[in-house]
Amino acid sequence: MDTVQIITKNETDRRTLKQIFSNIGKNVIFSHDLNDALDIFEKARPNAVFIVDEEEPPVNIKLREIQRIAPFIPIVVLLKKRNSSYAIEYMKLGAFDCAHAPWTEEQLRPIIKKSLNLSGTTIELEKPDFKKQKIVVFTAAAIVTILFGFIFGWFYAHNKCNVISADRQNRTELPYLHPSGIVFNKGQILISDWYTQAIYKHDPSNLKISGVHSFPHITPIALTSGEDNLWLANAEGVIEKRLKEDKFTLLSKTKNEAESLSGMCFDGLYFWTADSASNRLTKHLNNDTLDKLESFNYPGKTLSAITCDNRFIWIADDKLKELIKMPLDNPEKILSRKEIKEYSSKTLKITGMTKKDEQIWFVAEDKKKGLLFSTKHSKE
Amino acid sequence: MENQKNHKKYIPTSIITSSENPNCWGRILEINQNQCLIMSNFEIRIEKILSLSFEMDNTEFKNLRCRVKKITRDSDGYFYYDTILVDSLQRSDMRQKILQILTK
Repeated sequence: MDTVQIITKNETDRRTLKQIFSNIGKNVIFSHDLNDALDIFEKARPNAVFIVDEEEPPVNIKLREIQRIAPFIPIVVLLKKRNSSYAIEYMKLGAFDCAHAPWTEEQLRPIIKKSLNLSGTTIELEKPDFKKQKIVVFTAAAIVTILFGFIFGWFYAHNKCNVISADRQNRTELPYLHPSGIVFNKGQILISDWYTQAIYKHDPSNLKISGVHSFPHITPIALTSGEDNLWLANAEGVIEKRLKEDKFTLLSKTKNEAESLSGMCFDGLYFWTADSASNRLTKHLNNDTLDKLESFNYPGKTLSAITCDNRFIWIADDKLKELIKMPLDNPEKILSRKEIKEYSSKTLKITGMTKKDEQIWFVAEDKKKGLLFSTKHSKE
Repeated sequence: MENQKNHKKYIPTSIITSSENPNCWGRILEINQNQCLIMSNFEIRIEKILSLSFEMDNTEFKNLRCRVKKITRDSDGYFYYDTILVDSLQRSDMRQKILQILTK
């Protein structure tokens, strides 16, 4: 059990303090004065010393003398009055702590328990400010995120522009201003022009004109082709079947019954015409007279141009500004729609189209320019 | 130069919490230009503004204003008050003083 030495002459104080320390579980040795305390100190070696103030000699002397013989012993001053100035003074002189009257078990218990553990004040300059560090880290993270967002956005936009540019590499300004139809023929691109009344032959690799065939007596308004021949529609309302060779030898002529023929195509078995006036597609037999088999309502808005293969028919729709895909067995049902980016020009008018592998090729007029461009058609 | 030094004793400080309660005291366990850790037997409420007066390295600091941000209590019953210095001028003075101490 710990032993505590209490220096006081006052009997009342002794009784009070004895009761308190006994309750706390400490042995108490009382001394009347300093000399008595120092005598007992040598013999009993208390664990702590408690000094009651306002008794002679003054507390500061008692503190000095006790610390002289036992510099590390905890000393607590019991103040008769609550006075922080005295308390600080005594603590500066070496008192561990001070307790003010009225002394109670509740007040003294922590002081007694603590009095045995002491170290020195830590003085430091730059304690890590975690709150500030957190703010810095979060701010840096936010800046990095924003920067990343900008960089990503720039790359995205840049690629998108490049994609458009790549698309525009498939877009060519033609040397003639009024293209009306387009077909592929044995490694050549054939494009008709109604104004110059000619079919131009283009090298697909560089789109340079490799030949021209004039039709001085007809105005070609639409063009399509089969395996061995092509069909040329003229402004007089006649569809001419011709051989796909240099001279384009005439095979047959058929009256075109469409009020406003906007396109033709051959699906390998049947011949199709598009009438933009009635907005109807007509299926014909592939014979010299192009006998009409069946007619369908186009579910879109405008039949600007058409092309087909053995399964599907594609429509360029000027009003929807889209490429419409429909099945040949049900050309009134839209399978897919794809935006034609070139319609961003409000004056664009598609006048002809054809399919080659994965691409749909278009010829168009736009502000006194003849244009050739392509787009990928949607997969099945 | 090290940024930390241990004083030979825990610095005693008077603590004034209000005009009605002027006579409190404790010891400063740690101090820097922004914060102060105080140990005391007296119970003080959180967010209370304290006025500390103490002597450190032969320099008197009077009415150092701190706000109690965190309170803990040890098994002995003593209170530990994490406080922050609320006055920017006092923080600046404290920084200067600590620099002087550390460079001695």
